[in-house]
Amino acid sequence: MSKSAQRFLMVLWILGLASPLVFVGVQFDDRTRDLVAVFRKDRLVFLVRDLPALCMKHAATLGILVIIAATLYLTARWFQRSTWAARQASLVSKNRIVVGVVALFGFTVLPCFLSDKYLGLAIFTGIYMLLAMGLNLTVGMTGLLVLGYAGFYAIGAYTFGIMYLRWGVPFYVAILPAMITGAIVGVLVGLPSIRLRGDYLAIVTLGFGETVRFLLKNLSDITDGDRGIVISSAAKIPRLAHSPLFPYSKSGEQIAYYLVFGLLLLSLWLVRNLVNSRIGRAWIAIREDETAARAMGINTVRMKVIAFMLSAIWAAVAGVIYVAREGYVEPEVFRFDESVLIVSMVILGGMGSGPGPILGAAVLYLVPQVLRDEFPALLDYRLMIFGVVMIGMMIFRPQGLLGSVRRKIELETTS
Amino acid sequence: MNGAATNGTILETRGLSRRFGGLKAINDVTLTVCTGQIFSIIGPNGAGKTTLFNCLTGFYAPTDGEIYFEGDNVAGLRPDRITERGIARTFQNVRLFGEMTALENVMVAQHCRTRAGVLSSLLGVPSAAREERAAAQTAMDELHFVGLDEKADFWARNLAYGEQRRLEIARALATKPKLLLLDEPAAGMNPAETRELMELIHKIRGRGITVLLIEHDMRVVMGISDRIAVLDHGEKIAEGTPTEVRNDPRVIEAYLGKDEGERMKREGGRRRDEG
Repeated sequence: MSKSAQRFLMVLWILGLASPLVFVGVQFDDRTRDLVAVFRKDRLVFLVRDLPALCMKHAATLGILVIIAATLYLTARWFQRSTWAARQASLVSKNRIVVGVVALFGFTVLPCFLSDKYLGLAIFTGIYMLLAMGLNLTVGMTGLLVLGYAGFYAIGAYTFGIMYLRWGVPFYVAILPAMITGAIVGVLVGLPSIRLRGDYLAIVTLGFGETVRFLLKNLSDITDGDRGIVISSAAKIPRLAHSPLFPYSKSGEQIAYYLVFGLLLLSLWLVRNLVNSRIGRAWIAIREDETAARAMGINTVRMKVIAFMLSAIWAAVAGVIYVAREGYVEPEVFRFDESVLIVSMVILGGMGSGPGPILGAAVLYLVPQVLRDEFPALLDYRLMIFGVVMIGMMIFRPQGLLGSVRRKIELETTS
Repeated sequence: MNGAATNGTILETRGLSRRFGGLKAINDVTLTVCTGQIFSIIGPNGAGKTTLFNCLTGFYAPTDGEIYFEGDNVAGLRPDRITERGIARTFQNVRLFGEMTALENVMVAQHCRTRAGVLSSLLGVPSAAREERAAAQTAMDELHFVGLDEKADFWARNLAYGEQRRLEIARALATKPKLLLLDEPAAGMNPAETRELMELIHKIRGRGITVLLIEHDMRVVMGISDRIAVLDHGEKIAEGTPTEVRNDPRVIEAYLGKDEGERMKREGGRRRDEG
């Protein structure tokens, strides 16, 4: 692991350590007893005995996870194209087509069997996947620790929000302007701050994220401040109830689901193209050794600004989708926690790996939701558990759950 | 060997100086490298050789003086601009991109020779895909040139030390340089690897690339150089063919110390008298 990556992990270590400490400090009261109660022996016995029933109950969640796993398998294979052998062959294996078709079919029919609640979960998982993929471009591939990603997310959300307030535009009109605003802000933030490295960059971007939130709160003339913006249903993603197209539909949220799903597929394809392009390689080279990258004729400033810009565009799109789905936006959505959560998704899944952040987003968003339903007492300790998991990751698998996918290339081609 | 195609000057420094505070890392160095030469720079540790390389490749802006590459003053340009103009380098301590395959390492180096922009890279348009295939082919050719084509899909960090050194050379060659700067390429190599390296440097020159070499291994330097410049305490104390440099008393003094140098100078003089 390169030196900068080690420093980077150090920072995360400290963040991971700090979060449960802060939390324990705040929460140490009689609620601690609830936590102990959760781990009582009879409760555990109950859990084991009723596991099958529990699984049945969460079949929908499991379904999502299985399909996510299939997609990950597919994308992991995708990212192996960068070997010489794969470049020569450029063949598509039958295996890949089958898995691809199954995953695609699964994703397409999934919403017909999901209740509104789980559809909502799937949509939000998708939004976080988009965010994690976007942040992976800077944090994972280029090695720039951005701790204010929620700021870019907010820029997208509020571009739509403000455009709606002024002109009442619907979300699909606002996507392109939001992308442009995101790109401009990405470049404006990127240009001065990429002179900094590692921890210093993290602090500056953290400041950016908080600045955006406070601007949104205080520029009430433009943003309606703390009251937030309510989007009328006409400007939201339309709901679809019992149309002949979806005879099995129980809810009306399929369009939002398909929109997010389509954007995810598009993102996967775009990111895969990037990884095997001169720009993606330049990013990885900068992460690995910036000096050598410059000696190889890479304009590092330009490449880093491009990383910032694309990353910001991804966040902006996710922001628009978020508002268009929720129908409401307020500054408090884009707190520092949100930035940390997205960074954690990237870390947990595997920095710089293509499918890693997708898995990270699925795990870090879905697992707490399921835990919340099953063990409400754990909810208050979410951050603490989260911190412990992150520390465990840093110790036992610092490259992330899927961080070794690129490394597998060699093992498979040389064996 | 000395008569190698010397049809013009490719690199010229005039009064090149670089100071770090009070330290004169290099002071008033004037060099002329002709096209097609293998030009070596030698000198004791701390003589300013690597600083000179860093000035030539844009990592340090010279405090004073000019660097003319193919007639243009390139002093103070950014490293990537200089690489684009055709000066490539390797590093004294190997600096590969560890988490990339050997092939990808060499493909990175074609960055400034390829043109795909953000949008065409994102969308993987046919022209970008064509460029990508061509880049992979070129990278493979360079790997073949240094004898690493078998290792194309290995992670750079998992290669043996000698292989890493060669990969660094392949990577530098992939930037399509006119002038290649090698910073102690033989360091840490065994005699067999050193021999291979010397052959490789000849092959590089055979491609019409001028080679500027920093090297401590005197067998390498004396064996392949057309011209040698000697730096000591940041100043050029001698320049000439290997034979001239070998017999230069100031060089001997710099390497072996003053007393030894004076003894040899006296002996040299006596021998001339006797002759």
